Amino acid sequence: MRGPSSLGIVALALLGCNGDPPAAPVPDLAAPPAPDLTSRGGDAMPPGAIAFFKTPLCPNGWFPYGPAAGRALLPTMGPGAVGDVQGEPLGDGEDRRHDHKITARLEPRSVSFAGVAGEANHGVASAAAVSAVGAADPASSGLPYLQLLVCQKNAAARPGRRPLPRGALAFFAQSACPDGWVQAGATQGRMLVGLPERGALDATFGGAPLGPADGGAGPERRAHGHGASGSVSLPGHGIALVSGCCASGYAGSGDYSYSAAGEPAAAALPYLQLLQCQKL
Amino acid sequence: MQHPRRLGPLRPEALLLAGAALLPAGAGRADDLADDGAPTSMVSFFLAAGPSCPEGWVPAAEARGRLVVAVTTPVQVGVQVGQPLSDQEDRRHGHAYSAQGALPYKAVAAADGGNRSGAKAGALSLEGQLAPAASGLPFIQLLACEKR
Repeated sequence: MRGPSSLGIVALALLGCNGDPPAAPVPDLAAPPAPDLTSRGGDAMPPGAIAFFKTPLCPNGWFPYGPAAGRALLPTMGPGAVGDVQGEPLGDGEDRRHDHKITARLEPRSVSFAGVAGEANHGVASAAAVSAVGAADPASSGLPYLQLLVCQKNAAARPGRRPLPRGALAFFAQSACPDGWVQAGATQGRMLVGLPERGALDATFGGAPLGPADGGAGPERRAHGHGASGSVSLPGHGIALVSGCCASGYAGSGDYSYSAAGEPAAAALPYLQLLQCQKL
Repeated sequence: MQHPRRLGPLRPEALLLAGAALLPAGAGRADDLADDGAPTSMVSFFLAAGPSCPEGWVPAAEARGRLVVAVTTPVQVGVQVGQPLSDQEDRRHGHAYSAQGALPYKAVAAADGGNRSGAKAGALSLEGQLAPAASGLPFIQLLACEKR
């Protein structure tokens, strides 16, 4: 439940990041305002930079970057795929779940009876392999995240007394990095994780970087699957024959193991691809 | 299901921070001469920049072991979801499942009786747990710092 103070924050947000009253209806965040390069934004970040902030409102000269809302930001592989989006945006604090189609296969052992196969008792199962289909219960992929304000700079840079720190990373919704910045190499196609306690700096892990799909048909949509094995007990159906020759090909009753698989599906983490640049 | 956690400092008193963010970077600070001009409260990842945050920046502790999801609504800033990853942890997850099939009959010329070695024809219902698996997504863990 949102309290009155929270509403106050929202009200301030509606006033605009500079505290000015809105001159027009709430802008369409999917269409960021054109850069005002005559405005001095009060900081050294280059115009067009897209960055995270741990504050409720964007700094002077920055505006909320609507296209990223509810998404992780994925550095593009090379210059391509800027603006590509995957999935629907997350709601506030949403732990998005996904599911899988299930296929399973059971191969019964064969038993036979001292009798004749034929009509008319239909109570005993065939020993032919059986497939079963179903669905996995929806579950989260368990990826933890932190929500931070995302803003885009649309004012000119005002250099500080010292240069911006080397190695700093920023996103851009454009095809090339600004002067003094270069596209980051190791982050391309990888989700960014804050360094854990005692973690290995700049270590990569998980799957291969996300890039173009095989065959060049647009960006790759990474999926994962699950294996499984299980057991089931098949109840018997009594008939008035002893076991033996020559009515064969009937499924035996009793315990079985089987294999199952969760078909590939995406982890349902929505993201937006942007160019990521590194300060030289 | 685990409920998201909201960080204390970003509740209503965060308005004070918001006010500070409206000031030019480093305004009113005694160390203006040393300032790099990055805006206050900006959280940046750093690549190949060493194990420590630059001067004027502090570790973004809330981001440790976490991805960052962008938001544009003030009250949503600082919300944490899930438990942080450990070093290079490729988080795995599982699912419960159920599947249905049918065991077709094979006719036999006999009446029902006492030999139950044959399985009963009819519906087949399977259920269990899928083996845990990772998301398949690629990651890189980077130093995250907040500009003071």
